[in-house]
Amino acid sequence: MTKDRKPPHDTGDETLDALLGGYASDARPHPNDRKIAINLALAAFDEAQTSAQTQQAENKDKSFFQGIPFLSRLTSRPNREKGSPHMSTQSKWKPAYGIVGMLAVVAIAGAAAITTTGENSTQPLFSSVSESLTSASGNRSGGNGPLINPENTLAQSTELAQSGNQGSQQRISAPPPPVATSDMPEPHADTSMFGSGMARAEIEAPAESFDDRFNRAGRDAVTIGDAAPMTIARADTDQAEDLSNATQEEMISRQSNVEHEAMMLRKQIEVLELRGQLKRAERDRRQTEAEIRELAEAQRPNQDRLAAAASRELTENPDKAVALQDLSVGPDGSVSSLNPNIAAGAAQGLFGDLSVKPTENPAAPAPMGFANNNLMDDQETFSSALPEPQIMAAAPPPPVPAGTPSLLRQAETRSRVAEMDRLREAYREGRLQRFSRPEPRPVESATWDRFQSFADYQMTRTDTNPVSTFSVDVDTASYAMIRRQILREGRLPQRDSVRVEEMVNYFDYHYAKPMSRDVPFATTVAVTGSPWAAGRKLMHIGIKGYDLPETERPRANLTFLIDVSGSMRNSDKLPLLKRSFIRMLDALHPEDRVGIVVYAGAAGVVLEPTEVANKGQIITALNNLRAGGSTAGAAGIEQAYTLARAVYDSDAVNRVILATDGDFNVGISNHDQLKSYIETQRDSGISLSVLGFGMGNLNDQLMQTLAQNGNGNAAFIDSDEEAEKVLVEQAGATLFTIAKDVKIQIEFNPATVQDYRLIGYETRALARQDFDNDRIDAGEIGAGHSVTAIYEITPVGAMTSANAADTTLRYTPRAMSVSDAAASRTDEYAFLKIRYKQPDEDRSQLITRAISAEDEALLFDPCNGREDCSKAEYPVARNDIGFATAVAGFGQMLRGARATSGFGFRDVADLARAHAADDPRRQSFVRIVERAAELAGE
Amino acid sequence: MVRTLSDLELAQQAAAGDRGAIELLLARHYDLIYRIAVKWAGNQTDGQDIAQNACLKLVTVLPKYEGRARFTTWLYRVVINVAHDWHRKETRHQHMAEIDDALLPPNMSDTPEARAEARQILGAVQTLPKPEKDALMLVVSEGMSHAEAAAICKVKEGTISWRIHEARKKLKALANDGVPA
Repeated sequence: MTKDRKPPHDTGDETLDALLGGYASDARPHPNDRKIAINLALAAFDEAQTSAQTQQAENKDKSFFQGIPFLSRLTSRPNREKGSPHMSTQSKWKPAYGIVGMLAVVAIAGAAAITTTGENSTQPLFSSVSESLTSASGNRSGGNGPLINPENTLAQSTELAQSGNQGSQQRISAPPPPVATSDMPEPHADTSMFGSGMARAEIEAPAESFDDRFNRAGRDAVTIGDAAPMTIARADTDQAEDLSNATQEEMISRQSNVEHEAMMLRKQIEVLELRGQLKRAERDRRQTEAEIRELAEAQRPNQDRLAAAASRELTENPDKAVALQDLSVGPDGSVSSLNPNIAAGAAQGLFGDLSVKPTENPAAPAPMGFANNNLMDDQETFSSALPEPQIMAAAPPPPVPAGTPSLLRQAETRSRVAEMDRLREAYREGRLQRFSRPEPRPVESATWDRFQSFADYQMTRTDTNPVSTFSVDVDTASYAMIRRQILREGRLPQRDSVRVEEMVNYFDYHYAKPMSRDVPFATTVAVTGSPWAAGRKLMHIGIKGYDLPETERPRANLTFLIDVSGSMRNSDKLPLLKRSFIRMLDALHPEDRVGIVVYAGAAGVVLEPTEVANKGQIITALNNLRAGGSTAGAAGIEQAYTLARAVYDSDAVNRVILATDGDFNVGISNHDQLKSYIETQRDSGISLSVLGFGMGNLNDQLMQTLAQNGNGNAAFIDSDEEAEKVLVEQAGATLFTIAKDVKIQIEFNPATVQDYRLIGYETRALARQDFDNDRIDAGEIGAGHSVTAIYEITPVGAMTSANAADTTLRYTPRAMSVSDAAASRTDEYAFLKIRYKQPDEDRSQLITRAISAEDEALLFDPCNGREDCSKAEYPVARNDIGFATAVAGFGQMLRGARATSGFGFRDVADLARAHAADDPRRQSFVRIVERAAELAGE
Repeated sequence: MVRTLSDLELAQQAAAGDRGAIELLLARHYDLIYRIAVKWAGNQTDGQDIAQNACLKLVTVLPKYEGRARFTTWLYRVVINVAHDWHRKETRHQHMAEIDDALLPPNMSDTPEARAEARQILGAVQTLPKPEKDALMLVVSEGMSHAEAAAICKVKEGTISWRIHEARKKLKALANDGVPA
């Protein structure tokens, strides 16, 4: 790198270089920015595609019209001379002119409106619209009708067409033939749909260009009107009727295209509107932040008064002094020293929800500039001393997603600014009693947060906390998502999209199988050395669910609830979805039933429950699905459940399978309501699984939540291979639950295990007492599913009783030798308990077993290379454990866990390669790790 | 099997009308687009706008990418041009650009004085003539070689060196004007 040579003693340049080099060098977009920008671009892309199609259609129509010489006037501008040589042939079709002309003008004007918008390279229009949106803030109350009315143009051009038509009629001496009048109502009906009740366009700039266009359309209309009187002649009504019908059909189909395009335009306007709102929200945020800063400044000189007022208020009116307690009162009721940080922090607590960009965005300015470590410490001590948790000074601000562009949020921001004004006023005047904690607002953070954020488990000491409890998780969505991010997008995955247990559970580990349905699990346990932490061990717990033989499978009643919104048009969304479901039909039995409900802007039943025996019918219904279309109907999810309920069979599996790219606009917009609706349905026997497609829009967190509450699973389908795996190979596991509310509890033996850490399952943690509480919901296991949990443990130095007084280091354990392990058979690492319920029962069953050093010995391969020795003889295959270890290591590294800091991607790749055997999925994993190594610059 | 498509392949697929390809391409490069946008704008709010505009622009200009330059080189050019267009249009940015304190390097944001100085310098950079600003930013801020910067700006390497020299000279003059010795 050849940098510019610096003049000597040029200190200015050094500062400049350091400043430029460091400024914004790690600026990272907020996930929402990312999503909005990409969706905007996609909307523009869609629109460009549509206008290209319109252009094509127009060209086609042009040639169609040119075949009919007179009508070519409609499509070719500017006006032809009136003494056209075609004139004589035109005369006989006179009566149809009015109708055809009118329709044509409607169609062309509409198309022109749309095409021209598309041609405008989108950007100037975008900015002018968003500017206007910004300036026209607040006056959009009902939200009825888009800001720009493409319909407006249509309506006006239609008027022109009609006036043209009337004009021509006035000049026609012969009475119009019946065909014309009988056809009249139709265009009226159509145009009234567009034109009714539409106000003039509210925006100046676009309206002007629209004006231009409709003037042009008007010229066309006038052309027709002028041409008409010149061509009166014998009325060959039949011929005219034929032509008029044919043309009219063409026109109507074109008009429906136009309607469709108008819809596309409206959608685009929605996006623009969102963008405008986003801008406004951002401005509001900046303003608010500035005010808060100001407040923080203003409040400093007031501290003494604050303290005095606080103590006064508390003595006089303890009930109202909750906020004051926040500020200044210790647990004993006395006024504690008012450190400015605490005061500021309390103010932050009070107005916490004003910090529009909370810590979730590391690149954002630190909220209000006065949160610092010192403050955090103070708050911790302070709040822990308070008796009531709800009056903690450091109450974290509710997670307000940054820049969520909704009217609601905008209104919220405004009301908060107003609230701020009031509070600031009060602060200045010392009227502190006016302070009260703002009501916590329900914030639908999940709408924009794609992934639930969670912290990794850390080592826990066995002597203080020997019990670890969690719910099983058989989902594998996370693996498919990280695969997509690494291989297709070519970037290291978002941290919170990585759930280690889902990655580990993606692979098949040949665990021992349970023999009957009565005890539906077999457990496999193994203890190995940890490859990333010397001296530590990994304790693998593998659970294999009973796999239902084909003959034992219950009947399945499936209802597909399919998202067909415009964004599903990507090749990796709806087309893949169709192929996936069609594949799945092969895994179903002829007597199983499938119903299909779609949702986009509205919802509708596409296929009544149909037996899989009529596969053709189901396939046709699936193949007919089109993204972007909409059908009339009520809320999608309710329709799906209604449909499922109609064929409900208590002996069958009744399941709704929701397939979406992240648009959960299924009719119930409040996520909590949606959750409880799904729970209610689950309790009455209909479960829910969720399949995610595509990435740009995916709401992983909601997907997980819904599936968990619906006793179903969540999968992410990124390829045909994945569809094959989830919907065909593992159809049994996906569809048939063999046990529900499966919980695992491990009690570690303090004599042998110094501390432990569960790898993954962070989002599935349960409280110790929840294990024995049958009312607590937990994960389901499907037929043939397997679940792996891995603990990292630090063995106590004296693992063997024989040398308890050994002088070896207590906290630096040695590697166990076979003989050691053999000599200490009675020494147990831990005790494993599994609780589960049969799918139709409410009382749980318990399975237990000890995990001992013996489980370590089992790993040693007694075959020792002998060819006649079958792997099946051993409870645990080394390859399986080795590979699971590699996957667990990889997952932790992607999450940036410290625990694996000494271990690189290349080490994982080596480990995985050594244990991949000839399994193509494992080999694919190795490639993913190698790619990640490249991306990480290893 | 799932495999990594190159940027060129994706650009070609996108030009052919594959919505998924464009989504993937944007997802892959959005972080870079955003960083360039923020640096050229001076702050994140305007950077967001520019990044959005750049994404929109990419949709229309992608068919023009033929793989002659590296995709990122070409991408820099597109985003920087969008940033310039944006500055031209946004009249309210005729004056000093706003600078985000939060984006300052740690050692330069410790004291209010340091922050003020940093803001002044960065604000001055924003007022440089576009070609000089580009050259300076690409080389000093983005750490590129003069050859790389030259490829992006479509000029000779020597021109980049000269522009950087000019930029430094102007900044120094500005600094001296601001603080009389």
